[in-house]
Amino acid sequence: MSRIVDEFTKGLWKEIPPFRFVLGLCPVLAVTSSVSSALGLGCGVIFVLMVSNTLVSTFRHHIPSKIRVPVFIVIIASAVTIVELMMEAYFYSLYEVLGIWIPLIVVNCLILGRAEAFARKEAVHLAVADGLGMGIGFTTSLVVLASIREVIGAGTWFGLQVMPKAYLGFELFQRPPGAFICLGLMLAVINFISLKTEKKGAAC
Amino acid sequence: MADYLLMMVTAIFANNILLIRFLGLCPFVGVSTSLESALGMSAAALFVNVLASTISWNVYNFLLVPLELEYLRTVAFILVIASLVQLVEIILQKVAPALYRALGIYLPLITTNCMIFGVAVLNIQEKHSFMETIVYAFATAIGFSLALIILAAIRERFALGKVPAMMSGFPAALITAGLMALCFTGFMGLGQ
Amino acid sequence: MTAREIVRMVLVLTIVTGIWGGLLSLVKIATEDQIQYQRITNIKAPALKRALTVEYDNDPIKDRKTIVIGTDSKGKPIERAVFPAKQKGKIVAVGFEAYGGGYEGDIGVMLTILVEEDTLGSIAITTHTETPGVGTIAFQNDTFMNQFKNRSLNTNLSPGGGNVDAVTGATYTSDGVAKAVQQGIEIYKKHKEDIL
Repeated sequence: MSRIVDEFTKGLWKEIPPFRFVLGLCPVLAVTSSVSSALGLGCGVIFVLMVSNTLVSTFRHHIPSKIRVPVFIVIIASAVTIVELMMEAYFYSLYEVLGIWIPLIVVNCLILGRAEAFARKEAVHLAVADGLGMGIGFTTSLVVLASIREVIGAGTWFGLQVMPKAYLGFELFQRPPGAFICLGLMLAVINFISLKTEKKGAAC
Repeated sequence: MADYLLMMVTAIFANNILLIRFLGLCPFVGVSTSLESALGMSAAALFVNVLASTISWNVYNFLLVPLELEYLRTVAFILVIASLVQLVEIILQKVAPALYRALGIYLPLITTNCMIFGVAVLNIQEKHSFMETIVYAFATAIGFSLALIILAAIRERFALGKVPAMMSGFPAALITAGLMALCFTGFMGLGQ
Repeated sequence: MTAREIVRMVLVLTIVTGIWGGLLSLVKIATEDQIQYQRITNIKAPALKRALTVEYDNDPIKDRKTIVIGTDSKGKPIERAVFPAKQKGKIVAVGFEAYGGGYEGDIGVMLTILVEEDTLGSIAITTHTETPGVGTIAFQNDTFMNQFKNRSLNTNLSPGGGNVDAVTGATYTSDGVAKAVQQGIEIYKKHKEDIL
């Protein structure tokens, strides 16, 4: 039982993606100009991660190791296609905003990375805990970064006005350069905290 | 001809695939520590990008569309790219061992490079013709190389300076990239 | 590598792709109608609302029907959705889409036809790939867009017919819109019984 908790919680702080494992950066920068799109993509990633971790771990004894990568890719790509169809059917405006980033979940290194490094070797319940933890950690990071960018950049949060009306918005934070700088500063803050509290962990 | 030129300028500068569209970031921070590896990665990306886009375009237009299986695009493209990279690796090893030694280690990294997959999908979404697909894939790869090589050259200089412990590595690279992106936004309005 | 290993690999790959392929097509079938409904409400409904100049009390999207307007080069039927606007159960106007080639590709125009008066109602743009700030000035030009209002169905509105004034600097785009409207009128005339 305690192992399940361990595997789940490690994704929330100790190995939180994309800060501790700098994997899957592209969507992190691209969809975080608003909180709602960040949350939408995060949910898609959680779903795909859960499906891929569960299936890979369930059939881990049956997949020959020589062709494991193609099999993983087929599983992930199909899960992504399901997300794509579902989003178009039920959350059309989100589908429009996320655009190309939904199919791009396929090449998010985080998902293939978890299948290869964890789910392929561990039991199903642990793989599910790991997938859920990592997925929630990833979504949290996206939402935090998006909150900073949206509040500073546009003065809104989730589309609601949070800054005084007179605040015009520091538009740089909504644009691509702001994304890089904001993420860089967040990584620096997290590095600072870990340097203070613990010996530096391995960065990927 | 003018259309193609405009498309290239747009793809290289105003809509730089890395700095403005955020595709292909993993190798961007990963292999940009030295100029030499940046050059190797650029060459490999250029090669695979053009090849993968061309094949994906053909698969989509001559296989998926006639069979009305457009929704299988994601699965089909990723399989095309994964097997293409494997194939290129095997062929290079046999035919041009010298080139293989130079590019070999970057090739597996390319399968999960979102630029390759992203450009293949963009070509379909923007309804490019066959020629446009080739030109667009070539131009995006050049844009990718440009940004990668500039960042690598800057990061090589970091080695000589003193960077605070908490900023060293990724944070410094990302902020540098941010400042580069700021320069590239200056190209907006140029092109389409 | 032994023959058994190869057989096992092929078997595993076939089973995996087979199961997923089946599952995907099931999801596709299950979501197809919903996706079509979403596309219509998000892309076509705003244009339809703008183009419907008469009063109506039904939901044209819900009451839509599909008609066949011909066959493509492979012999497959071309379908088009028609949105009827009803007042007290009687159809007063119908809206549907038509396409005309602009500078960068097809321009989709939603046009409405007033049934009783037998004239055009109004038009609105649904989809286009024209250059922003160049071709698109035609769409924002009220004089251009309004000249289609309430025109008789017997007027030749195609470019070069002399009845439509193109917007200076956006000639190709203007022509594309005019072509689409003329095509729409022809569809209406030809398939009037199916539409009503």
